[in-house]
Amino acid sequence: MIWNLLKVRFAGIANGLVTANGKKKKSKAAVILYGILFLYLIAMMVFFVGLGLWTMTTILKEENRWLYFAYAEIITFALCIITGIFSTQSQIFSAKDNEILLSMPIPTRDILISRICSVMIPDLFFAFVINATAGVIYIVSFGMPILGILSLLISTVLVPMLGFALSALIGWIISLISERLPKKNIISIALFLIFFAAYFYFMMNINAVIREFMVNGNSHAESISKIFPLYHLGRSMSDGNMLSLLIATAFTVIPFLIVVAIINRSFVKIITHKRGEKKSGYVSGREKSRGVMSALIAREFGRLFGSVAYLMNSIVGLFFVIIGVVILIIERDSLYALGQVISGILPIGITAVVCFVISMVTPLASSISLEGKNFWIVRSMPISSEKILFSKLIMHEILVAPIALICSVTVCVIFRTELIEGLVVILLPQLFSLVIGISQLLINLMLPKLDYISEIQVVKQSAAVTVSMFGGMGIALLIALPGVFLLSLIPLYIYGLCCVLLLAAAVIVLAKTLSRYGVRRFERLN
Amino acid sequence: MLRIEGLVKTYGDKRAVDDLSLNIAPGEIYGFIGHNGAGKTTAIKACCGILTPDAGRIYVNGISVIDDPIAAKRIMAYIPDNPDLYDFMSGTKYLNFIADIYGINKKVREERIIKYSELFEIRDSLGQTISSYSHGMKQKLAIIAALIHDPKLIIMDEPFVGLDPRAAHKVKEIMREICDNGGAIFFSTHVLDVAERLCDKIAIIKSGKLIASGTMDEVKGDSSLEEVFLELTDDGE
Repeated sequence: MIWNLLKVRFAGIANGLVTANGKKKKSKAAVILYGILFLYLIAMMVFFVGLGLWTMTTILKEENRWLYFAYAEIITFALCIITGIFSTQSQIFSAKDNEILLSMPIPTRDILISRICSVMIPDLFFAFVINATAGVIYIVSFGMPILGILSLLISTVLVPMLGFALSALIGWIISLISERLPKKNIISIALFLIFFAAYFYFMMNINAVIREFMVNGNSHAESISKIFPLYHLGRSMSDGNMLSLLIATAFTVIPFLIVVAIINRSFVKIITHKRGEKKSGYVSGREKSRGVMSALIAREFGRLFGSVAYLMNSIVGLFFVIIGVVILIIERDSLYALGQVISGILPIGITAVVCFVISMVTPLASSISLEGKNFWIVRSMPISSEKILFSKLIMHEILVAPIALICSVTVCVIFRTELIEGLVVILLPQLFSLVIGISQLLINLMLPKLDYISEIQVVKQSAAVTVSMFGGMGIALLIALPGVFLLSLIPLYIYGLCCVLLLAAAVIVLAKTLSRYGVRRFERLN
Repeated sequence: MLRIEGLVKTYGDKRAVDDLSLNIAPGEIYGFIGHNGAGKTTAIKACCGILTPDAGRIYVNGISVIDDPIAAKRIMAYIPDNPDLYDFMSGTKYLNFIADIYGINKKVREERIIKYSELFEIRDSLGQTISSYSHGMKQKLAIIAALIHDPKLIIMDEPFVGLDPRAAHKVKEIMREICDNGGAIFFSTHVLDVAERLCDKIAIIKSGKLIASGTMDEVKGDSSLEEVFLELTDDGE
């Protein structure tokens, strides 16, 4: 029975890969393009993980080589948490076919196991890629015992199990808390923000710790070995130690089984229980009328703040910019002093980083897709398609522009920039934000997914979001890198000024493209 | 009020609507019936400007839906078979959104919201988010949203699905009232006895092609509409 349920799931995924909007088959070119994009993403993951791991092989002593695998598994675990925290809610508890399946003679346990398996598929994939990278580098560097390779294969399943256990537990707790409170979306968003703040604080410190270990790992190994599961997991792979594998297995499988048992006991209750919303009627005398554009923009914000998954997946970059502003203010004196030493670089350099981070703000990359089954509303009303598209762009700018401006002004104040440099620092992120915003809309118009079942498919897993994010980062790098090479030839602010002019021209061209091609594409969607 | 001339819509190899021509005059309730997959929804969506036809012309009060969609949409409203509304909005917010798009002033929108929400008995739920509504409540909200700007033409796709008998009765009354005031209704339905009692004219579509149209008497004669429909759409198996 579990296999039948999984086959249906896999068929759905496969159908999504080869059909456009669930209706017609994607062209061969489109499938090949997706394949290339997919391979590119794997290559990037292998490159960045491999680089860190290879560095470790050059500095770790033989008795501390378990740290190497511990580092790889920490990365896997972190990725599993990030993907799992939303997937668990949407694919287990909120899956649209839960009630149909429950009405059939299928054991609840089988439904749950099939759901867990499908949630864990991306995690298993990440674990496989990272472990394969780690294994190859280790074998080439030191050789690896057969039992170590066996442990590596087993840990490919163990770490995602632990990742699932933790993300399922956190998602479940957040759901339980938020559904008992009024304005549950805001509570969910607040709780997720707290979780992610804690998570990123932990990860920032972990990275600092790991960097420290990479340099001084050998002297820290003994204290790290006290973190039982990490030590034993690493040892089971580096030394092929079976006792360590057993201990690590216990530490990963037991929490997984406990969480699955808890969810299994309350699965039916959770998915069938509808905690009704408090009755609230129409109150007259509170009407406010708006113009068409204001109404459309309010609709965009309503959709953004009405969905935890959409919000958290779209605007994480903004949090980094805000954190960046705080760090700039705290470290202003030392930054100013550094700016005096390497004059003419830091203000533009920091601005380039801000642009790179802005490319991670992707609400428009899924905005067209999210019209989904509601598409008939705007299409049947007397609104021009151009207004609908530009209302989305305005929403994006209202989110990004003020925060980017605050960051730019902070940089100008800290570094006491001259006029032209200051103009570049202010204009560059504003224009870049417009370029990114319009590009995301155009990409989503080219790669829409209107027939989604869960929002996660659109805001996290869709081709449009992936292309937009990595494409945006690519554009940021493409603009920034020549500046590095031209540093010795022209002042950086002159290069920045050229980028401002280039981006301004790009905004005009892209806006025209959106007005013409974008509108035509939008009107052909159904 | 609504004139369809030679409408064609193709999906891949399949002609969903094949050279459809209809004329709905002011004051008429015009029924549109056909088997599943006959092309009713496609034709209806084309009339509302949601789909672009491959060929043919559609006019609402003389205004081309293809050439001047915004002007055409100003005087009509669409109620889909599946009321997928904005789950993140409350009923009130949704109605205000619709009223904003149509430029309805505060006083008029409030009057209409109160009138129709009390008529359909959902006034006490308008403050809740649409995600908490049942299918029937969403259908009622979609109907109120369609009525809020006092359209001349209402196009409905199976409007009675999910409505309780009282609400269905009220919808029929409103349909008659709109037509008595010079408006028109064009709706699809599978409930043939409702169509028989309610409609002034009827069109029957089979595999995208119009196979019968005219007044109720012209189409069904002395038989029942069900008998005529089954006979006309029989594939001769």
